[in-house]
Amino acid sequence: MNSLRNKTYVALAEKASKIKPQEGDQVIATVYQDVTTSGRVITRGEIVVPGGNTLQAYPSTKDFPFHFRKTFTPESGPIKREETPAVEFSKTSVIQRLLPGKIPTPLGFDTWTYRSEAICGRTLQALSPFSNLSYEDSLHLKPNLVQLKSYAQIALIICETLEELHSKGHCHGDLTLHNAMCLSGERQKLPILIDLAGSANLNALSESQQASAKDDDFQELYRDLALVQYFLGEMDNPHSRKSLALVNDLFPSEIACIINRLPGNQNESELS
Amino acid sequence: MKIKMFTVLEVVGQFYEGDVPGTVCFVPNNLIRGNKLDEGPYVLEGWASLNIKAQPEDMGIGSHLFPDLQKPYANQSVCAKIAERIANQRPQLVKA
Repeated sequence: MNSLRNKTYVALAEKASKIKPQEGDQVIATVYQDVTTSGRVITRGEIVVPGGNTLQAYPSTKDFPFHFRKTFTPESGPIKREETPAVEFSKTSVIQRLLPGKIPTPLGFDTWTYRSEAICGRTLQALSPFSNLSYEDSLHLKPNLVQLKSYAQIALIICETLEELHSKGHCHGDLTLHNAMCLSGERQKLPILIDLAGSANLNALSESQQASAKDDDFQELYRDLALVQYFLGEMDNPHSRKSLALVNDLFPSEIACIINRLPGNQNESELS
Repeated sequence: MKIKMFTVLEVVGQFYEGDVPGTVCFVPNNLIRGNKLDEGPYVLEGWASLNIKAQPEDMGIGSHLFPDLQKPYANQSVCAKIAERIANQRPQLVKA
């Protein structure tokens, strides 16, 4: 689906080509783990070279040198929310038809695993300078302003993709920074939405529920956009403007108060 | 090959190639038990996330980066750069 073959894709394809065919899948990279507070791994996201059994069960995996495999356990959050691999496969297939090129192709599922095309990009969680930090620590960062500007552009194209999804009558339903990716090539940045098991048809919701579902989709992105503008100054984009308008709703009052001062306006000369 | 120890965010460990070719990651010594990574604490303590964020923007997949413990990494200038990028992500520890 995604024609962008970046450095990571090329490196993984080379690694995959050295794998000898076997019955079972061969894991070539681990890209995500959900862990309990006691350190037990309850969900694994891995890049695998399909084994003979997988190729037989899911023939479309033959089209890719490697693919993404997510393995759940009964303790996994999505399983507890009844967002099973079957649900994820079915909902992702629907959204993929609406947003071709912006959703990884679903390849198969069974009771505990979901498979899709591998996207060789990083999630916003792995790109955001603010992820894993408290709001207070975020405001004390000394970020690289050029990188911050690049991150802001990625967050904004994800916002536009969400807007497109909403305009086609669906919401994501669980848009955390882990569930949006950027596929970066030398000249391109492509937005990708993943983990669509919580997506919903907006037409099945009341008007107020629709508005709330759409707002929820933007919430984490708007938090980061507001923090970005604390450092870079106000950006000229409808989503960045809206994020600033919502600062008092998105953050505790003492943090909102600091962000509203927007000292980033003073940093503009460093970007040129 | 003798592996150099580094201290990153006040934790002693070593650098390894990441399981995504072209990446390099730091692993605290106390998370390696008998040549195996203690994956849960590696994620919980934030190293999986800190390591992917320390790579160039177009390297790495997903939200986390895991090491290939069979491949210690020895280029010290690259290790120092990754160590610095990790430290810069934690202003509360850098401040201290």
